[in-house]
Amino acid sequence: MAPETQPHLQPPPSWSAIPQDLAVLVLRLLPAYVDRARFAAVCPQWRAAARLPLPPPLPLLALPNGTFYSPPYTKPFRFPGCGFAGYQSVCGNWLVFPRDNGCFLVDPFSRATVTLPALSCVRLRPPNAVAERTDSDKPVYATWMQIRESNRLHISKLIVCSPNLVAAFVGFRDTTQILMCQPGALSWSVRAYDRCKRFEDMAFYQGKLYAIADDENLLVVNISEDHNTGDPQISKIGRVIKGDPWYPVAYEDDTTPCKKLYLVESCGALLMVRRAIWCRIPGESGSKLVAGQSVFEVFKADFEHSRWDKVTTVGDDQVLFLGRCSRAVSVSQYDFPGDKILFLDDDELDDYDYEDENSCVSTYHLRFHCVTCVTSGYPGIYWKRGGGMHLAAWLFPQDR
Amino acid sequence: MDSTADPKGKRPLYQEDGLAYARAAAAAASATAADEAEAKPKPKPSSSSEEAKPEPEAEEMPPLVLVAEDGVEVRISRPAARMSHMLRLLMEDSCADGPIPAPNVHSDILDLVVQYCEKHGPYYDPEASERARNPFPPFPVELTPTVSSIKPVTYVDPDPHGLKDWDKDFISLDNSTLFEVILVKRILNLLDLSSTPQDLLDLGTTMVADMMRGKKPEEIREIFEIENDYTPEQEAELRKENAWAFED
Repeated sequence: MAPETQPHLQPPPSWSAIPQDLAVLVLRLLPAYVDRARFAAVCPQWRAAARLPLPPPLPLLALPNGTFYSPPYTKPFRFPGCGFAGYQSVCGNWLVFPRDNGCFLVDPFSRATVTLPALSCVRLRPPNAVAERTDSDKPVYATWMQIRESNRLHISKLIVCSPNLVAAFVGFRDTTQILMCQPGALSWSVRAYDRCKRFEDMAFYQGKLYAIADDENLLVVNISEDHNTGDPQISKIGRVIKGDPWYPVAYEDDTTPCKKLYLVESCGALLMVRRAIWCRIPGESGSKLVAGQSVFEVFKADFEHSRWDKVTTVGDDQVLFLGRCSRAVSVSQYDFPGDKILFLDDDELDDYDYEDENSCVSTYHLRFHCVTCVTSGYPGIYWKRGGGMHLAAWLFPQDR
Repeated sequence: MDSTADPKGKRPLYQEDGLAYARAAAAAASATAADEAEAKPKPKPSSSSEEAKPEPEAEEMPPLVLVAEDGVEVRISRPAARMSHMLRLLMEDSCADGPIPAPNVHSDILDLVVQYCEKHGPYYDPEASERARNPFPPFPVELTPTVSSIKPVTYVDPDPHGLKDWDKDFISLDNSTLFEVILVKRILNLLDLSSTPQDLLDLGTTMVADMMRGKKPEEIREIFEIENDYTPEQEAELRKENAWAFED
């Protein structure tokens, strides 16, 4: 470096006065949420820069014991304040807490709260629906009327479509129904005579609500407004894609795949991800299956031809984070290899046990298409199964 | 000046592409003026025009003169100046012959940036970075052969001139100098912020991001010598909101 020959006419600029476009360039190289939060805590000028539009950071991994991880760091953090343990579901940047007096969506960082009606307050459509059907030639299947009194009701999935529309799968095990409401309303709304299904996932894509059950048919949920209250309600459910599913069968080598479906939007297209968890059938009858490796297949929705088109890659710049709340994140500027799926063992169904008592984040590399391409996503991050820890979920904090 | 530039318009020895040929022909026409400028004694920048240089047409043009805030003149050769979008525009518009003011920049910092450009300049291909940014140019496609179109299809060493190691040594500056260097390079690039890989701006911001990664706010303030401008109330609110980011 050349030695100083003349004194500076002006004092050297301070790092706190870093121009905003330079600060954005630096922030774009910091994908971890905790790095960005620390950047904002340095001084007010840097905080202003951190509020500018930026590519989204890597999601956090929230655990139901009130801790979270900010990948790629392996140090667990505690949520600020009272800890936010015991949530039942996660949606975007919200943790969902159903209580007797209402369902509460809480953003653990900004402390913003959205209040939804309690699960006991559900408006039926038609309003005079009855549980006992007298017509003997109607098919026998479970509807909301049969399950609504159960004390095992819980929210298996919830999405906030807009400030006026929240939709959720409510039920237990493989019998769930779609409910919807408006934040601040007095009750949820449900179609009383619709058949309950094993709904797997739903997504709000291009202004419409879509749901998928284990038959892999993509359903569009048409929404209308209640004349009296102005609350949203389901007017009609239509099928837009006919699925071509496989159902689990047992194989000669005593293995059987268990299926799980996810809906996620990536690069403007709606994707269905089919996960096969290969389970071992144990020798003793009556014992539960033992879960093994997962294999993933990705399909793109072809609305024109009403079918799922299989794809072999999601793009080198995309990583799919699959869980209770699934999203595709662009990683091109983070110098991070893409075309991967990061997933969790977050099943609430008791269909199978795991051999390993520890659970972790796993990665599936799409380009290799083989069972051995599941590796540990973040080796330092793991937690013990049991005690509700299957509710581990990706949390996508909002830019503030 | 040197034997390869023939003022009578003869084709120079190191013929690399049609573009250079056209430039050489134009330069030959104004070669007499260049010769007069060359005759005056002048302090040469660190890597001045020598015979081995791969850009023969630039040798006929004198280096640009940048004037720092303290009045000191810093010279930058034309191939090196091509690394700055702003200077490139000035050269294309033939407005780069007189002294170019660089206000608010101390000559030491300007010197460092010029050093970087002189090192990288001969290997800098602005068309390559354009192509990287816009892989699908609008039709019709220009078919003029350029230097990069003759690149071999087989494996090419990504760093044939050993620039990465030089860059690593160069960028290990103290913090205040690093900051000023990044600022200056940004000014010189102007419209070109999202530019070439391993550009000085990328180098600098990557360095800064690496220094910040995983550090707590107090540590970041220490490293970058930043005053904590938060009022005590704001600081308390911040700690309450983001206590998890501060704790050990």
